[in-house]
Amino acid sequence: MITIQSYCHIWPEGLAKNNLRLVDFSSHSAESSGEVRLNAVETSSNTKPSSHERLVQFYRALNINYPKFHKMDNLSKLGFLGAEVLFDGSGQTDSTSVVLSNLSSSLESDRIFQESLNDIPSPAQFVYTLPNIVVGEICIRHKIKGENSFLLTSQFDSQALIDAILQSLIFGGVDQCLSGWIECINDDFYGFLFLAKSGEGELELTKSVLDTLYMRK
Amino acid sequence: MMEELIEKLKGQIIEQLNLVDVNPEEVGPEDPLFGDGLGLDSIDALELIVMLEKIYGIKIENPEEGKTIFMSLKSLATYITENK
Repeated sequence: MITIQSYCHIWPEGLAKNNLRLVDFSSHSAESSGEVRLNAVETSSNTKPSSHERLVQFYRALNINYPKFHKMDNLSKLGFLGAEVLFDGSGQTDSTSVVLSNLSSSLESDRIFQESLNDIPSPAQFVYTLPNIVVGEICIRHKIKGENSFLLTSQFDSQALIDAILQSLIFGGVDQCLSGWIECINDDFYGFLFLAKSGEGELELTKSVLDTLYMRK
Repeated sequence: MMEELIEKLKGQIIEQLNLVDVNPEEVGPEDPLFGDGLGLDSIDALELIVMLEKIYGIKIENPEEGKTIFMSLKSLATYITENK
């Protein structure tokens, strides 16, 4: 039996782990909707922050200290934040694989790099013109050496993820798999990441469970 | 003159390489830029080469020189002064 051990959602207004709001940028009272507000963040500006600004605000709110975060593109920042929340300094990443997915690949970074071609192109931007770079960033941070893959699908495809997760758990010889959807495009983003593991648990890894969790934020 | 250039370079490097959490006051002119110092990596080295060309119009022809040129802010300032 494969189960979902924990999951997190990241979107411009908030970040939640297992439905518990860890960071909240929304203006409404989280308590009034029955959620626990652990880390409400006050923002002074009335203008809507860019995706980049918002992702940095999440980084600050979570008290992470990893200078390389600031060099990453938005897609990597998003995946990095999700992995931080799910691993939560557990150090239990020895036997882990990574299977991530999205629709727009690294298109946002590709555009930025393309624009830089008018001048001397930036090597630091070039390195992020592949979607699987985020996997590398996560693996470096958490010393993950298991198999990894990045799937491009036209929409959240729970079955494709389940197939790849099973493949990595059964044939890749790892104990757990970090998986999910991370999409960054048009100055917007959405992340749904989870840890799947062999063994008993409340949430079995099925298509319907994943589809339900993906929609919940 | 040299001190001014070193201060300017410090700001340019911090901005160009997104060293957001680096306090400029804690970076000395002879501190190593790579390894234990600012902790820059190989991609940062390429960015520094681009920065030299963009801002100062200096092209490093021999990559072997890079190690010496980018040793510290002082060595970089010296190279710029001599090659501008």
